[in-house]
Amino acid sequence: MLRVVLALVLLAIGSASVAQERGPLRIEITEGVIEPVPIAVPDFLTDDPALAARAAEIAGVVRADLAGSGLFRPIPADAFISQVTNLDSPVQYADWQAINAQGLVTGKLIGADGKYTVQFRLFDIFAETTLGEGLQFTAADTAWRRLAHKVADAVYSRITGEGGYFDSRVVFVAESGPKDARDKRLAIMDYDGANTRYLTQPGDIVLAPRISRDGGQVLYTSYATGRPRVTLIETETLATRVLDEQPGSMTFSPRFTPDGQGVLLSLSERGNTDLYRLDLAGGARTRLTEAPSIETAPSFAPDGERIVFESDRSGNQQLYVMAADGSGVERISFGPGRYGTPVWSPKGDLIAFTKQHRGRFHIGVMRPDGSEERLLTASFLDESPTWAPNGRVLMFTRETPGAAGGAQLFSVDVTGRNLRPVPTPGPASDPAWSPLQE
Amino acid sequence: MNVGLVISGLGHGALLIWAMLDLSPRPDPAMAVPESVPVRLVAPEALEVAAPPLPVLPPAPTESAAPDPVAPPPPADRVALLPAPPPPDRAVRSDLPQEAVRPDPVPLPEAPPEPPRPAEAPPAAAERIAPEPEEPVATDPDTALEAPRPGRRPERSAIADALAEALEEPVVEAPPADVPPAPAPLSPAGPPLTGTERDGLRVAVGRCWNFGALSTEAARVTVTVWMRMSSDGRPDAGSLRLADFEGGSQAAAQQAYEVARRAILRCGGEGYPLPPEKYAQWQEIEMVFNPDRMRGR
Amino acid sequence: MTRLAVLFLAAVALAACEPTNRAPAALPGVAGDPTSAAFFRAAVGDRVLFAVDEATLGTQARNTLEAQARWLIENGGYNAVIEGHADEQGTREYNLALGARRAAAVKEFLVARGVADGRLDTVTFGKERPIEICSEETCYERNRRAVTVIAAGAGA
Repeated sequence: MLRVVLALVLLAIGSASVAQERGPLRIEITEGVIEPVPIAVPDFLTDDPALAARAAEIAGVVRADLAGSGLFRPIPADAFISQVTNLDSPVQYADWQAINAQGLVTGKLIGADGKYTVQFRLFDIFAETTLGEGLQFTAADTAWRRLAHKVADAVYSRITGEGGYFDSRVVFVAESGPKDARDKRLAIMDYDGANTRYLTQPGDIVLAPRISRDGGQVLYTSYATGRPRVTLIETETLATRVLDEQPGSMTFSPRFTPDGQGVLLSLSERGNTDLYRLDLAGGARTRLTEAPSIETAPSFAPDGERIVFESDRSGNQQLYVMAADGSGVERISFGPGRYGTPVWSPKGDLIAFTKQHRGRFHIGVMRPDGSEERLLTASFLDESPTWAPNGRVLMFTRETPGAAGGAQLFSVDVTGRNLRPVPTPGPASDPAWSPLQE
Repeated sequence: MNVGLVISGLGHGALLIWAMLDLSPRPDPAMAVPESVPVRLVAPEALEVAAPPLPVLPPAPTESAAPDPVAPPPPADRVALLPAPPPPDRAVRSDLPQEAVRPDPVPLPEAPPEPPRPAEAPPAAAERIAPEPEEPVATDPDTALEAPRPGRRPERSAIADALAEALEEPVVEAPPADVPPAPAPLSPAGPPLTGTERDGLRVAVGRCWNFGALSTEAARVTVTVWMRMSSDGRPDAGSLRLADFEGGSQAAAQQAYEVARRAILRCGGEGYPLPPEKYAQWQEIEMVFNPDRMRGR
Repeated sequence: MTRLAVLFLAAVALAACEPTNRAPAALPGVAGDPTSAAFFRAAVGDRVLFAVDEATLGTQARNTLEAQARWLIENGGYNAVIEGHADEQGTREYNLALGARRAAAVKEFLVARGVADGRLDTVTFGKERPIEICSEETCYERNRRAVTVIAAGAGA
């Protein structure tokens, strides 16, 4: 009896040990590739022939958004084997696999009574399944570009896991004229350069605008009164209001507080510049820094609890973080060179900045504690970065040297890749990126 | 029979029993598909809130504060560094839309019927990413992820069963061999896979492992994918699952898993270069996708 | 004849001794009036320069400002706006603050030399109004300036 039991036990042990060797083969992959993902976005369908051109345009904007992000590579339509003729028909995965499409976006445009509805589906070609559920968006037909951006945002975020950023706007300064007589005016556009609209007349210097969360107001510095003053403009009515009317004062570098109720700004008195908070409704002013050095260019953390700013209290321009009430100031930049224009990412995980070192300018990022500093660009003059709503892409100003030099907007991925110019009607500077629109 | 052998045998047996009892019950691996990342815009409650209407562009004030957006062309010797021609509607001062863009959570009327699948693939349910309310599986990712080395379970439980039976009844019974790697110690698995063969598989998968389109968070996650292979070297698409992850959130791991899955399926279409005579060794594979060395590129 | 020649020569010599209305330095285009703004700009010197990222006044700057102070005291009918400027080698908002610092440094100096505080205003232009646009040090150094712009005041 005992013998039988022990024999079985040994057999079991033996099998177990052999089976242990026969477990799944364990392999570690450590080398991959980083390439834009090939994706097919055929022109969207429509039942109304009059809308065919618009449906194609919408797909075109989706393709441009995805390609512009640097993470996708739309496949040209002439390579398609299958044609999509119906949004609900089964997908011939083999045909799309054959042209190496990894994703497929199919869409349809429906128009009625001045409104458009766009429906779309997203497919993972090699897993042969849909990703997520189909969605549809509706808007006035004049907002067709926004519909395309919404589709692209959904595709982008479903595949990458990042938040989207295409349905957003950028307020900036449009420039013209020579360097010593530069004309500047406030302008606002879609993030991709479309639908540019001017908010001010040329004639007075305007600088460094910021847009409110809902896009209804813009803060900027204006020389309309002959000296720099923080001014608020309504994007709808274009009505302006100078926020600080104290005679002899100079205010600049305004920022909305995250709750939209106040303005953080720099005020210069007797040559000393410090940070103040101004209440938009009542005008009450609170001083946040009190130092004989320059304190300016602040930026709120997305939760509104902390502020990063630049100060030369250590002897040269560096970055500091403090609580929103001005307490607990700590320096976070320690590298060689000068650091300025800090902006806190909407994700809260990074601070972007301008760095000057050995005659070159760089856009860089670092963690809010100052660690992991990385420089993303280098040129004669890059400055004032602004974050896309997803905290992944930055837009900034790049100026070229010399008498013929001019300013232009560029965008770059936080990995340092995909540096590309942003199309504007003419030279442009000081971009500020809005949140995703509703 | 010597005493040493008896002690050793009993000790091993005790360990086996202890190990068997310690393992928690686990669902069928084919069903334990991790919860998919919901499409951000689908959540109805988030979308029912009517967005405020977009501002109406006012008729141009008399001083035309917002005139024709085409700026006067700069003097020829000054730079207008336009990289590309502006889109055609730029010249028109466009009106802002009158209404909010309302993303509609309503799924499209008819889901496309499941395309015909190759015969060897298991039912589509295992592979569908879109959450389907009728799926009975409480796709609780935690249980799936805590299970270590799930591939080994079938054998162990079979053996444990056999052991339990043997201890209860004086019947000799070979452990049921319902799992392909037959636990008989003499199955033809061949010599272990060589380094070259392993590298071949590594390189073949790595070629398709593209994490260019991943969030910065997901691009840092290490994911372990478990899969079954058919004897011609092709991965069994329905068997793929996320077995483990570390270095990021669940959502990031899901994205990283999808990228890994794409890699396995894309480059495995014609079969991976694995020696058929050693099939028993690579019939189940656990692939660990570790991006640490790719960081900073 | 010799007498005429001597008289002629004497007249010429005397004419040469007549005090002219020119400033001793004979600058081109300078109005004759030493109480004029043009005189202030050209003869006294309406600007001082700064080193990179600095707002401290060097020796030459102090000399110029001494002269400015004297002139302003003598010509009480003028007020002045001191404009602070910076070169393009810096970020925009920091340069606004730097320009303000430079303008304030000049004002402080003038007030310390006796110019009434109420007559002086300061404004910064940061890097927005360069006068030289060549992106080299020869241009940069001339852009790093504080300019005292005088205008007729209430007491004129």
